Amino acid sequence: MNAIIVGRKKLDFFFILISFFMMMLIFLVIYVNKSNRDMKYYTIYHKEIKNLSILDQKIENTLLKKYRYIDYDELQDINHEFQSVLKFLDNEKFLYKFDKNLKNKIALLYTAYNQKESLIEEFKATNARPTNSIHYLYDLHQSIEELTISSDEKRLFLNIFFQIEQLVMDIPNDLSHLQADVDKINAIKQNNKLYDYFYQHTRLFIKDIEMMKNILKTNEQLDLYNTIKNISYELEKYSAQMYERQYTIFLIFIIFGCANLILLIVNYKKIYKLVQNLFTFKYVIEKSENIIIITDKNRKIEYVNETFKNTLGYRKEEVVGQQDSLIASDLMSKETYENINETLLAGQKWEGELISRKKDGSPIYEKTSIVPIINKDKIQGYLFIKFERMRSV
Amino acid sequence: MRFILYFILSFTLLWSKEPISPLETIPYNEQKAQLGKELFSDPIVSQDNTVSCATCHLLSSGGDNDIVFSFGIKGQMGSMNAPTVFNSALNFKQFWDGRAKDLADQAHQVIENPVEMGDNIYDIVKRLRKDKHYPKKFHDIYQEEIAKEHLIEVLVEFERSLITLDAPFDLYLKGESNAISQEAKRGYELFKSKGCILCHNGRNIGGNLFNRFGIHEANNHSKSLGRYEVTKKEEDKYVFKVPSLRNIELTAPYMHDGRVTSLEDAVKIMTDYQLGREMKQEDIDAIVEFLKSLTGKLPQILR
Ligand code: HEC
Ligand code: HEC
Repeated sequence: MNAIIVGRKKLDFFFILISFFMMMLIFLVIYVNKSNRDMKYYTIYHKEIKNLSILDQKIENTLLKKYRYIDYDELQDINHEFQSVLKFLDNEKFLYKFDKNLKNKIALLYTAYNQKESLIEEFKATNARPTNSIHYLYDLHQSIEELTISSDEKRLFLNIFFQIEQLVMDIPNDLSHLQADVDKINAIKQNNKLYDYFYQHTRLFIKDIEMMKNILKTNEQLDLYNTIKNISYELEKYSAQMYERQYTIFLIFIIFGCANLILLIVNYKKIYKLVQNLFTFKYVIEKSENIIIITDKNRKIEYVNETFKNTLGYRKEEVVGQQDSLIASDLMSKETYENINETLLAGQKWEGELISRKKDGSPIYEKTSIVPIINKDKIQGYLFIKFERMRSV
Repeated sequence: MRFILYFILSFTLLWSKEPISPLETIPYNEQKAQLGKELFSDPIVSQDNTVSCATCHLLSSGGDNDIVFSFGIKGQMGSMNAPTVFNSALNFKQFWDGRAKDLADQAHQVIENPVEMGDNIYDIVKRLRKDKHYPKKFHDIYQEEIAKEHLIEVLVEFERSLITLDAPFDLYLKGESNAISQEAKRGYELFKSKGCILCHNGRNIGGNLFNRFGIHEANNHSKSLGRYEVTKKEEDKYVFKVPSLRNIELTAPYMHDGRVTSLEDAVKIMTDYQLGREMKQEDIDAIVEFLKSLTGKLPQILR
């Protein structure tokens, strides 16, 4: 044995496993962070889409209130809110996150909403007119007894009132009948302002009711509701995919993590065995007949065994950290020590006889061998093995 | 029979709250509004340096001018009566035909209108940049060189500050039962029961829908086709934005073409054209009395 070559394979493997585990952990933290953010964006976005469908519903509710007084300010506020939500949704920050087609879909949403908005304007304008006529007809009806008209005409008036009420209440009615009655009024109106107004109101009423029907029919064919639903559906699909992906990633992490753990345990067991062996060896060395010294690469003493203590008379604490020259004596020639240094620095083992000094100053004769400990091609320390020779021998 | 009519009417008249609500200020940026105020009265925004916004929208008398058609640059005459800028921020659309969707859009269009100010907005911006004191003022607000968005924004902020609070009628709505006369109260009831409220309602008493001018009078003597110019739809002929009736006493002449100068005549036109009924003179007087109670206080920024 010329030198001790130390191997550290098992330990290296241990470090690889640990760093792999760390890397996975870091990746996981980053991933959780990112998906958390995505989730937050998704939640905000989805909430606003939901908001749109609520607003759409509010508009629909208003459209149900035909021929009644409608708070147009409320519609205006809904309109503003819808616009601002649309603007919020049309934000680069989100657009490419959830769905590559989102940009187009938002554009569709704009178109659909603009159609709806102009329809609402038509609805508002149209609604005001028959509603006003109802007011007029009510007043006229109230005062019909005071009017100076023939009983035939009065019957005609009442007939028209009745038919208009049915129209307002959405009771199916033959419009041509009403139209015929209205035409009769036209025929007798001449220049009488009362007949003229009555004719205008009833004529327009029929016209506006038709218009209102068309508006509401057109409204049913509008795409707004479906467009919102569609975006909402796509978003939900995206979120389902996102969950799926997260689930997969976590699963992979757990599988790798477990595998890593098993390897670590196996590795630990091996190291544990090694350590056990080392304890045995340490015991052997402590109790050996030989004096054993281990130094670092600068030949500072790191370890001495019991025999050293017993033979040379130093306590362990006194020598640990000291230079090995502590026990050198002037009984040896300078050349011998130089020879030792050269041999060792060359990474070679040195063997020979030395005379050293005990703590009390008395000389000791010893057969000595010094072996460099080499780790990864570098001297890491030295092992001294000495055996006392009786002078008498 | 009578019962059914009652039933229907109670439906139409069934409002959960008053159909008119008192005005409240809307939030605006004071610094921007002050700068906007300055620009509003500065002819620097017109091509030949003769006309400012305030030429047509007199701020001391109701936010519009007293002439039928306003004179723009080079003494050209417009074809529409200038509406008031007071409370215009509350309107759902701007202009008689609603061709501007909001105040920013509106300001842009006015500046580039060849009859009104006849300018390219970029030229104004150039002129403002060369001016002695505007660059500093804009810089104080925006920390950058003047841009057209800034010009528009300060004008809009100024207009947002022009809310006329505390009209006697608003005080009445808020519970001060003596704020308006007995006659005006009767006028308000008529305003509701005769149907004016169906078009003129909400916080701005109008300004939130379009309607045809001359529903019951086909010959409405209007040169302008109104919203038809924007949509080109047959049913939009003679359709105009229903104007706000706030401060109406101060904003004569009336109608889009300024055809009448007295409120009484305006109400008569409305009863005939819009309501399609005859109204007693005393009722018309009561409604006029009510309309006069709609004059609010000058906005804070102008005091
Ligand atoms: C030449 C006169 C003139 C000048 C100058 C002028 N306006 Fe007007 N303004 C009008 C007229 C006329 C209308 C109505 C036009 C229409 O509806 O077609 C109008 C409409 C408006 C409206 C819409 C009000 C509403 O209720 O619809 C606003 C707001 C307004 N102007 C603000 C301004 C501002 C801000 C400026 C300055 C940049 C300005 N105006 C300059 C004449 C003028
Ligand atoms: C069907 C809708 C409708 C009804 C009902 C209605 N108005 Fe009008 N009103 C309008 C429209 C539209 C204009 C604008 C007409 C124009 O300028 O050509 C207007 C204009 C006015 C103006 C002139 C405003 C201005 O600044 O020039 C007054 C005043 C007015 N209405 C009062 C009334 C009164 C009072 C009643 C009830 C008697 C009434 N309106 C009923 C739609 C209506």
